[in-house]
Amino acid sequence: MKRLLLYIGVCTALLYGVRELLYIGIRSNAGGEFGKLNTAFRFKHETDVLLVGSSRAECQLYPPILENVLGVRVYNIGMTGATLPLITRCYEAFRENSPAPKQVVLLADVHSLGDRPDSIYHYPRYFPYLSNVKLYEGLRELDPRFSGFKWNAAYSLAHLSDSYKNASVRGFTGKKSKYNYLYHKGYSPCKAVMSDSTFFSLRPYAYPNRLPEHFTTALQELAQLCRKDGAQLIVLLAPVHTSYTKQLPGYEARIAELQTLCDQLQISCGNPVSSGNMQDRRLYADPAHYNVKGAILYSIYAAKYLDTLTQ
Amino acid sequence: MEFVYFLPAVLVLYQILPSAWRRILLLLASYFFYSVHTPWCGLLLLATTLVDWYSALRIDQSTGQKAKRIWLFVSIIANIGVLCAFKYSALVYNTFGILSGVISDTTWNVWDGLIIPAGLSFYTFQSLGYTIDVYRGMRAERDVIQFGLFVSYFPQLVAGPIERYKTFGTQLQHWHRITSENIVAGMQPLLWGFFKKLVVADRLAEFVNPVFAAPENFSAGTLFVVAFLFMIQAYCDFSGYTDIATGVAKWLGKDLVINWRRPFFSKSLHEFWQRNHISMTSWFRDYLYIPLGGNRGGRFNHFRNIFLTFLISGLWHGAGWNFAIWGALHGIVFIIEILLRDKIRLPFLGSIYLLTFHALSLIAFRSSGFTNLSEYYSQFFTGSWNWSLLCIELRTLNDLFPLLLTLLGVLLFVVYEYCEERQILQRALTHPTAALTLQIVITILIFVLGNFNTTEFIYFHF
Repeated sequence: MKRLLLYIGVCTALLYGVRELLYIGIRSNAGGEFGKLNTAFRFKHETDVLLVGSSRAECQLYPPILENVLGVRVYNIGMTGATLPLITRCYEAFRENSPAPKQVVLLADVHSLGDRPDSIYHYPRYFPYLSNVKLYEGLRELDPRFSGFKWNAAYSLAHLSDSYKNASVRGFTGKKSKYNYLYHKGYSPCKAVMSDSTFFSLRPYAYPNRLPEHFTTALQELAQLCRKDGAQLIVLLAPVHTSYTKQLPGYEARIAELQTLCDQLQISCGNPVSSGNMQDRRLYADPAHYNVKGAILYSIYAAKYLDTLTQ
Repeated sequence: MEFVYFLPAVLVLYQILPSAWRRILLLLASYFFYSVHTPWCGLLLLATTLVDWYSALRIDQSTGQKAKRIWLFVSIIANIGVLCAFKYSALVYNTFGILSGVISDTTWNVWDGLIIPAGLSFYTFQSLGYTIDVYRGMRAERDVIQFGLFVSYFPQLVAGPIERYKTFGTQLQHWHRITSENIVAGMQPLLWGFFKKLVVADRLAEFVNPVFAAPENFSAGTLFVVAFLFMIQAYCDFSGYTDIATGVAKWLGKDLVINWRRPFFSKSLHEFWQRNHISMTSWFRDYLYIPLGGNRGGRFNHFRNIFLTFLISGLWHGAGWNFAIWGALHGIVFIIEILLRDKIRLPFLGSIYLLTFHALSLIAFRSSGFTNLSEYYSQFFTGSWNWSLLCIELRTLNDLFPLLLTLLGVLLFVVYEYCEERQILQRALTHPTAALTLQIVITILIFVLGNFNTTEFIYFHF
């Protein structure tokens, strides 16, 4: 019995030690994805405009362009795969260490309303940041497994894939690898490469016939948080190629619903790109993301739109 | 993953319940474990168990040889019938369909909806072996619960080893409390089993699977290396499961038969089959090869019996002609070894020959079908042997970092097996502190190097 208890004790201690070591390595990344997560969830970062959203925000809004046009500091905490409830939690988590921005710009994904809010994309990337109380509580609310991920070393280690271990090694050694995608002020270009045939034949997921409750609740929460922080919330419609949106039954009606909801919440909501513009296939990496060219153009449009709103 | 919750729950209940109830708990737990996803599979298991139990009882009670034979025949028909219906019907349908021109290919057939119950080949053979033993004079088990537990015992139900009633069934009479000594004794095989499965087999699968899916896209050198990688993967996957089963059985105070004795250290195919999947090899020897006549009746009959035994054991592994080819290859080389036994001695080269032959023969075993097999072999014999392509192609399958972790896993596996083979490990493990340290190190390595994305064992399909 003594030997068994010793085994359990030493293994538990070592597992927590190894996990912490991996997390330290991951958090030591100055650049790349984890550099951004450090800024978003660990460090104090002062910014005037905070860009929030999913991968649409992350790879379509280039902060330096907005900074140039608006003359203020801009940072992008768009998270790939994030649904609106998670985006709201990320904003709360950002605020845990950083002062409130003057403006919060949300790129709202009206085309992906069918996504499940309890399924968090690439969830292990948040593991090293669970000491951020708001982030942990928010994630746990969406996915109850996060209690296990925080407190059970074996459980969380089993979910850490090789890319995270690689990131940890890179953090300690300071060496870059293919995982060090270009990140600048939270922006990262879309990595997708798609043939035309795939591009035009891509089918969307099941689409709801009204704005889902989790979406409206999360938007209300975000609006409330921004109001409390004295920040102006601005909603931009995330651009998606028409080859994709035309397959979504009631897409226009959902946009109208969103605009009504924004009016009720007294939030500015609009599309920086007028209808028909920016639909050239060559601007897209995939039907839901601009490539670098598209992102630069869209950032100019978005900056001008935000400029008119603030004037 | 469910096993992680299922096992502690069973162990806690086992410890709480009085001795008389423990075997009932294990029987119920075994049936629950087996039929939780597909309840009818549990009913099938129950039906074959009852048929074999009753047949054996009648064989034991019958005085006449004819009656004994009839009840043995009932048992054989029941077991082989179930195997044929669920496992081989699609093969027969496809083969005759193509030969007669009714169907043009095997990509779709009426049997697509048919699920092969997990571990079907294992439990039918275990159960059938019992009735044959009773026919040969062993006393039949009167207690249906004990026999039911022998067939369905959850640690080894889905992937063996194939146990004999004489050695394992008799252990099932007494169910003592779980002791810390048994937990400690079971820990070593359990942890090493998980290491082999999660760190070696599942990591190698990430390189092996894409190559076998499209062999025409790879150079001959890569196909050659991947054949070796699959050889290690298959061994670690299957022996890993057996080790886990051995460890869990040990916790409950039961000893499973030794199924693997480091076959990669063999120097001939003869030695290999004395070390590899021992429970299956001995089953085929005792219940097929010897009844066929064994080495009696002249050289031709001897070789015919060897060939047939290997051919059938190939088909036992899977319902496809690629498995038959694999079995036939082993049969032929086994016979050649007998013919050359006194003429050639290969003390060192023996290992190289054995590993190369086994790796190349396993291509047939791993192929998804005849077309896939011919694509692999044709690319292997006609493709480029430019070794510089190997690294480039392996890098296209996965990143450098996972590749390095995989190589580290394989290296640790080889070192461990070598130490076991040379008895270094056994000597070291007699010291409690060394054993504890090793177990701790393996546990940490599993969590740091393990691939937890894949969970299925290859042999669950057999």
